[in-house]
Amino acid sequence: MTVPSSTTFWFILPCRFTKTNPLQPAETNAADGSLVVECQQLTRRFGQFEALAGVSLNIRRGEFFSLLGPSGCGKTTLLRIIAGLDLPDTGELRIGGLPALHLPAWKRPVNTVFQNYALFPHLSVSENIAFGLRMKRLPSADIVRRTTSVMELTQILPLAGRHPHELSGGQKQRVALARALVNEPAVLLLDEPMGALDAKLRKELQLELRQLQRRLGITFVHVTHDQDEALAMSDRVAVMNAGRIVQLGTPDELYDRPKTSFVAEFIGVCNLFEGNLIRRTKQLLETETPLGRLRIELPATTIELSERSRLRLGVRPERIAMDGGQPGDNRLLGIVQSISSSGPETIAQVRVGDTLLRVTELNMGRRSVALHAGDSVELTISPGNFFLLED
Amino acid sequence: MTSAPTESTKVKNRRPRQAVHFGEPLPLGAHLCRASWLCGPSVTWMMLFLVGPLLFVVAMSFAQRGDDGEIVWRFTTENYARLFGQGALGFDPVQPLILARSLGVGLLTAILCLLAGLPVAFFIAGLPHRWKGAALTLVVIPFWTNLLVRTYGWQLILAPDGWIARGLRTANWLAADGELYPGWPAVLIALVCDYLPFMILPLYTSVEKLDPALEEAAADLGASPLRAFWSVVLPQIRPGLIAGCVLVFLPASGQFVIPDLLGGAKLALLGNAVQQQFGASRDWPYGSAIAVVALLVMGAGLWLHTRVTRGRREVALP
Repeated sequence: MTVPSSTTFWFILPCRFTKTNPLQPAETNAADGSLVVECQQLTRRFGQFEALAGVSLNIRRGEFFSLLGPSGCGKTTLLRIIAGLDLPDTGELRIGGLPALHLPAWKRPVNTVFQNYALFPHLSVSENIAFGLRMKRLPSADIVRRTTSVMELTQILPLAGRHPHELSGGQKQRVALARALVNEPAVLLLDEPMGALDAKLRKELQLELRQLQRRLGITFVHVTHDQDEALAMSDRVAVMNAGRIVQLGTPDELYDRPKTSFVAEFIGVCNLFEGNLIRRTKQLLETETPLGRLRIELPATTIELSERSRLRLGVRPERIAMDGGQPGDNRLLGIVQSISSSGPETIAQVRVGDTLLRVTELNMGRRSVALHAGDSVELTISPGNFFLLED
Repeated sequence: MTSAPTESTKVKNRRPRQAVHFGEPLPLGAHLCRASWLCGPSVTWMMLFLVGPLLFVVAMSFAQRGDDGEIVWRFTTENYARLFGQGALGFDPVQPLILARSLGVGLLTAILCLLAGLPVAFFIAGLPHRWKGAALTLVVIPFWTNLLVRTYGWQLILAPDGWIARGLRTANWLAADGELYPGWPAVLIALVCDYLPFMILPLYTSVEKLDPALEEAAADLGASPLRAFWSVVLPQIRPGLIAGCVLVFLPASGQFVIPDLLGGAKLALLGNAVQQQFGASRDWPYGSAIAVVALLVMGAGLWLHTRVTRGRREVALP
């Protein structure tokens, strides 16, 4: 038995058993760049329905990775394949650098927090959490110690003797999390873990889960259809649609530079329109759009742009300003169609030409004259705030 | 955890159970009044034809047999002593053996039914929804035939020169002079076949309710299929399992038609002993004693069943 030099886990586990988790190296540095899950061209069909249409994906050690997409996009299927609860038709899967497809679920170094938690109803909270360690036949003193420390970590120690049906949704979620974490998986899979919780609790738990992941340094792979959740918690997000990964990147990349209209519309709200390329300078593109002539800063992403090609453009509602702006910004004249407030922000529908633009502005208490429907307003958009779509 | 039981008793004390009639709370007097004319007939019937005769049997078991087989109402515990082996010539194992053999047969039948019924229950639960009804009907089809007819049927099927016996002899699984009927093999085969539905139906209801996500969770947490079955599936279907075992064990250990017809009148079980005492031997007091002991044994089985199932609920709802 080797005593690991890494102390990432010291507060949950004073002593780790290499025997219990052969695929996890003793050194566990958060996000050290090594790959913990590698998927190559995974496909999976259910009858006529193509759940996965060739998914390749690498997940780095220690990162919080989210699979985001609408229901039926294949994200849960992918998670189940990683867990070993489903098998792909074709493709290759490596976990911790070793081929994993031939391993049954119970031999894989991954643990799952199931969507409806799947707590064992006949076992108490502590017995539920100890289940995985029991299956590994650890000495009972170790089981008690590890179970207790993980219950402390997830703040469910007072619930130890209760049974699942006596727990609230949030408590069940914590128990499910503790039951998976206690096994120190190489990868922790979370299948819509917040799906059954109300919005306020969800926000709290998001933050907590994120902090927990940072502290433990365990790789989290999180499946969700909630874009806010994915953006708030993840290091990287893979947006999936119809069995494919449509874009993979950090939350900022996905929000600021969506590659397709699907991603742009799925993540956040945006105004999309088309334009014809007129002129191209070193830094700027000049386009003719329904909104008028717009100057657009060249995006970092290289897109094949032939002269006069048709472009699909987008801009986020909060990147359109209704008050002044900077010199060099695009200036558009519009008429306010409707205006409403969500509390922290004002949401305006502004008609520019024949196009309706959605514009939001934070309520900073600055505006001296309130806007009304029918007012004309000058909109300014910085050239750098547009994004170009590939489709 | 220690405070939980007191809390629940507090709740119980605060809200005494009250009868409700179509959502309206019913005063106790009105409830009893209503109950008396609604339940009266059946209660009277049970009192007259079940509880009364039962008490008579219990009383008779402490009486004596006259020389001509009549009942002599003189108190004695001799019948029970005899049943537990206190014969005129010291310890006589014949009667306790009957008791033990009956319980053994019941237990063996229950175990065999369990082993045969579990796969069937899982199979039916796994069928597409529209086929489940048909499969369950197939399970109960044997009940459409009278038990006696079925038992005579087994006589023909398992006959010494029948094709099953001959086949087994050819395969060398049965000695050249061995036979299935009459004897234990035939009795057990018939008992298992007759009582299998009583095992399958309660097992099925439990298996049906199993959440497949729990098996996945067990596998995810490192449980091999066998251990997942043992530590997750089995505890979930325990109520159905116990109900099935009780439903098979109780009637199987008291069965007398099957041992009589298929055991070749050599294998006396409790039921046969009772039948014999009330019939040929004309010793009603002794027959009553056997019946009372059989009743107590069954009662103990049922008590154990309710205790175990209620025990579960108490754990579940502290």
